[in-house]
Amino acid sequence: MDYFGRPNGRITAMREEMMSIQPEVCVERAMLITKAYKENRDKRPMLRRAIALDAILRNMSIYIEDGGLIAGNQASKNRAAPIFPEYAIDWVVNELDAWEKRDGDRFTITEENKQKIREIAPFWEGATLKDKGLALMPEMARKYYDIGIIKVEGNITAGDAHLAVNYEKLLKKGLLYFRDKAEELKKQVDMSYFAQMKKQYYYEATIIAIDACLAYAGRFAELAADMAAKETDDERRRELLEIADICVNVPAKPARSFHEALQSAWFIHCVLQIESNGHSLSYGRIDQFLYPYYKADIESGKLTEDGALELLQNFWLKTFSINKIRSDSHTKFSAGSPLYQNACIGGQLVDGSDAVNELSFLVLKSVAQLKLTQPNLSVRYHRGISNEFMKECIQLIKLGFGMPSFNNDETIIDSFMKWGVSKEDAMNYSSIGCIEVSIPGKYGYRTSGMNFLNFPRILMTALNKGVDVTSGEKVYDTDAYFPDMKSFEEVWQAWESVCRHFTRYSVILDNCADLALEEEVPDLLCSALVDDCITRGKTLKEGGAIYDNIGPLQVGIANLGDSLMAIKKLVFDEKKLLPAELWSALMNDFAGPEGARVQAMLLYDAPKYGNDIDEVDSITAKAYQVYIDEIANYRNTRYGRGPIGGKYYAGTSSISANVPQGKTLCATPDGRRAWEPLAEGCSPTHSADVNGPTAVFNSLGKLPTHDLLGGVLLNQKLNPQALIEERDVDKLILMLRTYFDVLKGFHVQYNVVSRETLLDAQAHPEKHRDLIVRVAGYSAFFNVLSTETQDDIIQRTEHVLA
Amino acid sequence: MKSGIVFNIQRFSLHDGPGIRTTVFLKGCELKCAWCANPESQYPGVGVQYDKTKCIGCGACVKACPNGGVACENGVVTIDRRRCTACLSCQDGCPAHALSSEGTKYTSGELLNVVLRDRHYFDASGGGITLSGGEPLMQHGFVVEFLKAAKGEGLHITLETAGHSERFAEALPYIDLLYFDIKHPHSAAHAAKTGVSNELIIENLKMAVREGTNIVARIPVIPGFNDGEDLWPEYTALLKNSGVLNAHLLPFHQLGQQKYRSHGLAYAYDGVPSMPKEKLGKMRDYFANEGITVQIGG
Repeated sequence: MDYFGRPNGRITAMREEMMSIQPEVCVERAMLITKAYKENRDKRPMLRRAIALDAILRNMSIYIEDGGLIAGNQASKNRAAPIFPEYAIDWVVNELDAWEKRDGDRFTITEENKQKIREIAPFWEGATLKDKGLALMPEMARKYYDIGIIKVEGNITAGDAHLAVNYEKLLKKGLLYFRDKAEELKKQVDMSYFAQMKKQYYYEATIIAIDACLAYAGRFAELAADMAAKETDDERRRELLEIADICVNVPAKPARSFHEALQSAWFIHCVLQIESNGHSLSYGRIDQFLYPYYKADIESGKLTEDGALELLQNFWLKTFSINKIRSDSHTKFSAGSPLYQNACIGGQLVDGSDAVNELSFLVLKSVAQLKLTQPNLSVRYHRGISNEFMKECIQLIKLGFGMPSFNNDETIIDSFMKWGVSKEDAMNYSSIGCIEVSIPGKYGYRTSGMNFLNFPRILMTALNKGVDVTSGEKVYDTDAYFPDMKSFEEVWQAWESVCRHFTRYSVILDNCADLALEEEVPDLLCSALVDDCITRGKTLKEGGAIYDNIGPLQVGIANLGDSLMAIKKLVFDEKKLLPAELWSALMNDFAGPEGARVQAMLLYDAPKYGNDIDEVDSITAKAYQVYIDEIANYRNTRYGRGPIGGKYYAGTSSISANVPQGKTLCATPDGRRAWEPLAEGCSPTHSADVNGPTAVFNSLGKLPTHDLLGGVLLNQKLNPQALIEERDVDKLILMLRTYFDVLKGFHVQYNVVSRETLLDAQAHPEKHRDLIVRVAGYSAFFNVLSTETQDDIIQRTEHVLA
Repeated sequence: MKSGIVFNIQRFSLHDGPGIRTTVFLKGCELKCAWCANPESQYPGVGVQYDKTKCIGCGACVKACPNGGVACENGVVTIDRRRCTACLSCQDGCPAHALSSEGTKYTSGELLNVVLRDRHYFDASGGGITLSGGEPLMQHGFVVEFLKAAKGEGLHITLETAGHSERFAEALPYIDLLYFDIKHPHSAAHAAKTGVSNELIIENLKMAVREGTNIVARIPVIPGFNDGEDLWPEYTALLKNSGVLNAHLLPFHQLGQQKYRSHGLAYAYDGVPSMPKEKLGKMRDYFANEGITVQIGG
């Protein structure tokens, strides 16, 4: 599998170095921010935060790797995860001793650093985002949070991100342009006019944040010059002097070369991940905004293709150096410590022509040679994309680390326009994080990534007199009890009401998180780089973005549909099972011969979503539609404050949430046993799709994809055997084209790994150190996943092309 | 409307003709090829198949069988095929769904509805449907009715056949592409390993050529049976004399071995290793030299 070749010696060595790292926890940021917050208690949170960013960027350790051509580090070591105490400190302190013992996502920390964390912890008690967010929750909403029936932990224990800032503008104009604009507008603020007063502080804070970023770049210019002075190798000295020169120019001023463009983008991308620990911070359309610089340098002879490749790969290694530590429970939702830093290539230009260029091919090659989990590479598919490029994508898929995934222009552009985005901006959409989509530099946080709602769990609650089966608590006002039900109509009504009720509460929880985020942890630099925050004098959370719609995540779509189908068919239509009989089997997790009999009926006698069977596909779509219609009634906290939209839409880019959300759920009427994973995104239940990939595509094609702008996740697994012959690759492409052009699918991604390989990797992790698999919307090293997630991946239906 | 017995429908078939296809496997075959990878397809009627992984060993099937044809020992079920009348009482009685019918009855209309579900993919990829088996022409009445309906929908049709049918001419007008098995150039050898001689087969092949059907000859290359170099000139002569200039060489594989074991059937090729594709390079070159376009594998 050497189609793409190997990286050069320098990159290979840097990669090897990066791969051999056991991630640590870095406490520098935690110490610096604590000090800054202590010294600036009197300031508005916005200013305090900008000052703290300044303190961090001016004092944290910085370094340039041996042979490194791009500068800028997030923590004191590569792959070390900084601590962000202002978001949450309780889990950090509670789990300090457990990080090294984790089954998955292990981090090490020295005893000395543990002590430092314990020392700063009291300062943060009651003052973190989490404390403030929890305090905002009404009683019942808090109960839902505690029992996990609606999950928003990630939203009140970390920052937002899930966006791409305006890198195109940054590269063209430089950071000083944004500073000048803020300075200019600050002068116009009339402090005697209350409505403008807050803007004064916004501009002050924005300027501090921009200056902090420039100071950080300046430190690297000095460091590179110092290193050059000591360097004995002539070639390396020349490189270091060049880095010094570049770091003087960018990000302050417009980029003058491809190298500067990468360095400028990297400084911002890195600093944004020091400012906030929100993940899914994405690059946007990297083959588009970098292209003018690439083209100019290649044409002038300043840069060779190999040189560009080396720079790109250095950029990806930097991207991979970023890390994040999450609480143990949150880790289960995001297995493999992913950062979901998405890079998007392909798609169309504004005039509808194919946007693929030489750089798009080079990005594929750079990612293919490195085989790393970051960046998360997505391709925008469209009808006019060339077969040549698609074949190149399949070559990358064949390497088996789940990239690229495909998003479909033919669906997504229309959807954005339906949600109020102008045609020009919609044509420029990019993938974000896993599979979600947004408009780079113009869209608010979390186009997807708000609350997680466990569909089958609320269905079970609705059928159980409102008592959550897992916690035993009455959480919903109803007397409906499945064993007493006489018709499927009653079941359906129970679903409709419970779905509406929990949808409302999920919005309440999101609002609590968003209000706390807005007031406690505004991101100044991030906001400055999204249009039109500076013009409006508002942070993103105050309504600074041009567009701002958000997407919560619904988990267990297939389980919901299959459960309703089995109930309808076996209990009410065919009367093969009595309601009480089914209920008792579920409550006993199908124990005993009677339970086994019921489970077998549920599994094999009722049709399953994903097989192109209209009956069950339509019940699934109809049940989901209840939620889709309901969520459309709600508005987010920015509604009416500036952005176009301010609405909610549904989506299923539910990362690996299907595993922990299944872990808190009893047996379900689709035949799933208690505590087992739920189905992933909009994919069929594991092993339930027995009619092959076209049938899966057809089933998904029946969902209201246009309304699901938060993402329609479909994972397909392919055996490498299937892609040996060129003619098979052609047919795979034709199948994808059909799914996208005719059935208007949203997304698909492939795992090309054999089951045997995965089993072997589980037994002999040391032999598969670089085995990467698609977990959900992202790729992770197989070895770092928990045994449960590993099992889950192994069990996914493997489509062998016949 | 006529009905027939189908033992499998495989969507997204990539190796049974051009483009993306749906392959329909029909039950029943007059030939008894010793290497057959689908032994369960030879019997024309509905049978019973057993999935050990689903079986809970409860013995309900033993009681359910009216003919005393099912036994359950140590949690493993065996079916006495001589006593089985395919009444499927055992399937109905099995709570674990470990027993199921081998073969499902479809009317030609029902079958058409199933294959039309992937029409988008056929249209986009230049694909269509493929009839395979068993020997599709064993159920010629049903098959011809189905072919007529499928042709009416404008579907591209491939027929995979062993060619041993008196009613071959009835199906021929609906076929866009014929995958025609030539298992051995010698009639006696053919009869020895397949149970039938090859005269009717060759006659049908020539008929198809006369009718102008697009034909690919398919030669399953079986170790010790038809893989000898001495046969190559005879093969190419036969093909050229018949007017067939396209051939697929299908290397012997062992995908069917497990089926023999699970069905408790004797298998002449048990343990014989699968033939790697590379082994057929010389044979391909010889054919190509003789002016025949060859592909290894389907």
